Amino acid sequence: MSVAQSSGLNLSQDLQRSIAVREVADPTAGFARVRLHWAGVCGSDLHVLRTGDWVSYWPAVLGHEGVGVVESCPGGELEIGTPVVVDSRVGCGQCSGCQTSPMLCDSLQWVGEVSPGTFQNVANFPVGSLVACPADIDMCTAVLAEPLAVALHAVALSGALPEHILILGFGPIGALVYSELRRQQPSAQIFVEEIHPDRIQLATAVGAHVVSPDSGLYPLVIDAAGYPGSFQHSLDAVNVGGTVTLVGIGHTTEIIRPQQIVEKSVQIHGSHGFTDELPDAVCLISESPEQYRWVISDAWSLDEFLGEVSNMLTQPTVGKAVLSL
Amino acid sequence: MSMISERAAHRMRSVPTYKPGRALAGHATSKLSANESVLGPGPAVISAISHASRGISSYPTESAFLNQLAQSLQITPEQLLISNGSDEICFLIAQTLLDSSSIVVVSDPAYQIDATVSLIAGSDIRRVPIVNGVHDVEAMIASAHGASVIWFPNPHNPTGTIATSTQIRKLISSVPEDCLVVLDEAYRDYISPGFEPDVLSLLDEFPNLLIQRTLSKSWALAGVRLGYAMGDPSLIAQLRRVRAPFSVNALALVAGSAALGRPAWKDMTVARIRAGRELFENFLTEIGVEFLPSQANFVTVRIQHEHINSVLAPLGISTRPGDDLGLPGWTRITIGWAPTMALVRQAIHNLVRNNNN
Repeated sequence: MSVAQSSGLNLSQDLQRSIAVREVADPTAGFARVRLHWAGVCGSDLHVLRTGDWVSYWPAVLGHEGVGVVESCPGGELEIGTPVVVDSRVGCGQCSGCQTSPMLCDSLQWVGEVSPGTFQNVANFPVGSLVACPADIDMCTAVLAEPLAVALHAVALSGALPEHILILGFGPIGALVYSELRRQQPSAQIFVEEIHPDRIQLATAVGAHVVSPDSGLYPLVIDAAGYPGSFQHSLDAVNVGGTVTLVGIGHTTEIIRPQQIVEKSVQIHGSHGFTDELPDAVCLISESPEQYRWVISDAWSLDEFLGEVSNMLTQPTVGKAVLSL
Repeated sequence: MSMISERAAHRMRSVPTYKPGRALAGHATSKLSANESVLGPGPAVISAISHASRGISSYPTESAFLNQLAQSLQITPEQLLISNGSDEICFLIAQTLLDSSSIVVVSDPAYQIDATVSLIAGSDIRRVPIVNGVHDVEAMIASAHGASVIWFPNPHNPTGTIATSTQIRKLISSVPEDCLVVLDEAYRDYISPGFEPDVLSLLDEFPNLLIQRTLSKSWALAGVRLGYAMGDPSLIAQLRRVRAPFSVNALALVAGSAALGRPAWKDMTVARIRAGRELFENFLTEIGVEFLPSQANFVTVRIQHEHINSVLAPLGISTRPGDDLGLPGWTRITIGWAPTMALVRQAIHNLVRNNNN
């Protein structure tokens, strides 16, 4: 194996974007070289493209959702040609939290922000950060495995599922949360609050009941939007004794009334990333890719993406956007 | 060859064999050769079919679906005939109206089934060329003298062109009253908003108009075969007499009913196809590949199929050779799922770049 050339989307420290080729050294023991086929564009990628937050090296190659094929694996842990999904969590491996799950790491970082990510066509990853997929998996749908794992984790944290559930936001995470709720609880009435007309159409198309704010009280509210005020709105919308799960990442300072949490006896869960759900997500997609394809609404090559980024920063896509690498 | 098969072969000698769009080894989303809906039917349809499978020991009853469809179209059930796919309507028209003394008019190229059913009936065919990718309505009118049927797909397959409301009205009002104009609207839902011809209003005015549609395309029910025709009640009654009594099966009726009951899925998938078509046509314009501007869920490009296949087949993606459709030198590409179309754009881009170097 020789040094590989990788073509990717570079982000410079002054937030300029360009397509550049970089050299990828031979993987060392414990690592595998992956020929990436598809990457998913996450809201957090867009946040970093806008702000440069969280990045610790420059120029950065962002992207933390990716699927590809193993090209080289000196330790032999993975066979050449195996399709793999990238587990993007980078724990320190030394703190007490890491002993339980990378998600509990005191200083958790993410592929793309701390090391070159998935917006390129060749990269080395630790073998432990790759989940092997069945050989016949639909690679493009498999790029949803990481956000689906996030959705599975949020649903798992929410406990026993009631018959009436409210989801705030029907972006890709909201859509995948819906999909998992529907799978686990086919009889549930699932309500969605969303303002984007095309996302309203999508939610209606898959069978959700789109409601306006203040439509009633729900035993479970899952905030998959994280817009300013969404936390307080979740508290307003939850039943006494109900549960609020926050999976959308709100970046603004919120004013809330703690009294409401106490008097309603609300359980609140913050759902960050996932624990051990990534292999489950791969299995679900592998078994029924047609259940998830509708979540992907846009796809571009890296070159096309370069031209589309500024649009995406102002106007979100309806569903998940993916990049062909 | 037995005497019987020889006789059959002789009688059918002018009837071409239908070549369906092929699928390669890729996933379902890689088949861009048959203008299917790649996201499939919505969850409500899947669920309804699963439940309905318990009732398949009984003959199908179509009245509930017929009424539901008529209501959604705002016509009477007497103006409506449902069928085992839209193709069955073509066969019924031929069986009912055509024989060896008949003349039919088709565009050239044409949807193959229109010509096939006419040839099986022994009719003569007048072919009116599509000119620069668009309908030549005046030539159609000029060819209508003495014809029994004019087959008029709108949007047209394989070009994707459309005739306007004005052109359609002119066509129907100009042809002899005993000449049936069959308006095939299989791809109607993909027409850009605001450009859909107003045709239902013509039904009451012109008894020689028959509109056929299908639930195979935008409604994603190609596998269960469900289509319909709308026309003058007295003509519909005759077609119904010819049709086999249970030609639309029970699962198709359930699927159709569930689909109509939740049109948001169809609206969502159609919106995506229209957006994908615009993106693809803009891309073709940008890289200088000739194509026929389309109002359907496909775009036909001026690239030899063997060339396009050389870059798409390795990705498992199939497209339709223009040779199969009467357009040699062209390739028809279904607008598919966004990721598949990203691969198609990349592959065509590379093909053009390599040819230019």
